[in-house]
Amino acid sequence: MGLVEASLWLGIRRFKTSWFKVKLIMLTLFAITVNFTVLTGLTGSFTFPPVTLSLAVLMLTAFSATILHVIDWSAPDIGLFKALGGRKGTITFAFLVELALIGLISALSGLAVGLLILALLVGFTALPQILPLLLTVVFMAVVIGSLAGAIFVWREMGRTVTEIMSHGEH
Amino acid sequence: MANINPIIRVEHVRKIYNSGKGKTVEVFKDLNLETYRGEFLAIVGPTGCGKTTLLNLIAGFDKPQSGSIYVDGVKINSLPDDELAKFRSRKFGVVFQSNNLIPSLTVFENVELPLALNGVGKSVRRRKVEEILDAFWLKSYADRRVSTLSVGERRIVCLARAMALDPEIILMDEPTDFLDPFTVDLIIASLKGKMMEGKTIIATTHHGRLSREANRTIRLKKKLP
Repeated sequence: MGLVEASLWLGIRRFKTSWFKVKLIMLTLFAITVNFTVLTGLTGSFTFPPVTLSLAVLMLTAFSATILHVIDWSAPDIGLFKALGGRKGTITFAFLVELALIGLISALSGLAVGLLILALLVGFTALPQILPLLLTVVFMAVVIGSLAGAIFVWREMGRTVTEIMSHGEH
Repeated sequence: MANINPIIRVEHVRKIYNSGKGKTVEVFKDLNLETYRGEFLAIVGPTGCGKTTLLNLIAGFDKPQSGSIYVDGVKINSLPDDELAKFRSRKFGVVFQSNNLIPSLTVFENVELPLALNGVGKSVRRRKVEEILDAFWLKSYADRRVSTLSVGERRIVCLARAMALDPEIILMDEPTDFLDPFTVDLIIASLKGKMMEGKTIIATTHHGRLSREANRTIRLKKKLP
């Protein structure tokens, strides 16, 4: 129980305190989600599934690639947490919490703004039809992005502290 | 010496680094070293001779290509990752050369970090951090972000963080570099206090003042290429 609390403590604190860098990532994720929502709505996805599929793949890839930047700049921190006694599970879960928070907040706000733009452009009537698809893809993007980050942290934690810390020295 | 049994034993350690383009650098060929409980060992030598590498090996931050490192009778270079992390947090407090504090966290949170990572409960954590900040004259800095502190103040915070889990061994990498005489005095005073408590201290240094305080000094030589 203590280690779960440790993960939450660390994940939430990292989210709150690396706010400037986090803001840049969240802004990008927000823009990706808005674009995906509007484009999917405008292309009348249900009449032409290949376009929907392409947009969904683009959304998932762009979202995951962007969220992974958090891990890239955090490599020295991962090394420090390991040096200070952090266990593999604790640190991985902490980053999962941080990434899920970043992903969820930016994706949901992007979805809300995207739907608003769509409603202004094509009216509210089209929204109920498209909403389940949008929610599924956005939710998948958050899950895949966060899990990809967590897997990266898990793998990093298997290396020595000096190896992890030198990862940040590009 | 407080105890005749070595708390740290480095036996026939060989350490090689890959320096890129298929080339390697041999830092240690057959390193042997013993440190005793309650001892203050200073490691001196020119830049690049392997002082930090030696500390990294002792702390288990790095692994040797061959040889053994025993800490309190436990061979640390063959411990699984999580066991090593647990063992390390119980035995070692580390003051890094570059401090490695998290600038966006407050002084309180930086000192709290090792306690939180090791599953110490919230109320115990709070009490311990308050005690440590008090001992290091940092109480009035508790809510300040580390990024707003001077070099010397950061070093004191790093020292306070190293003491958070009350470790038996304190490893310090160039702890007094670039510091004003007042901060050096402060660090030396707290180290003397820790020696009185029977803690083992290993410090790499270029600072004559710090090595004079040590019980024993070893000098590493730099290998010529």
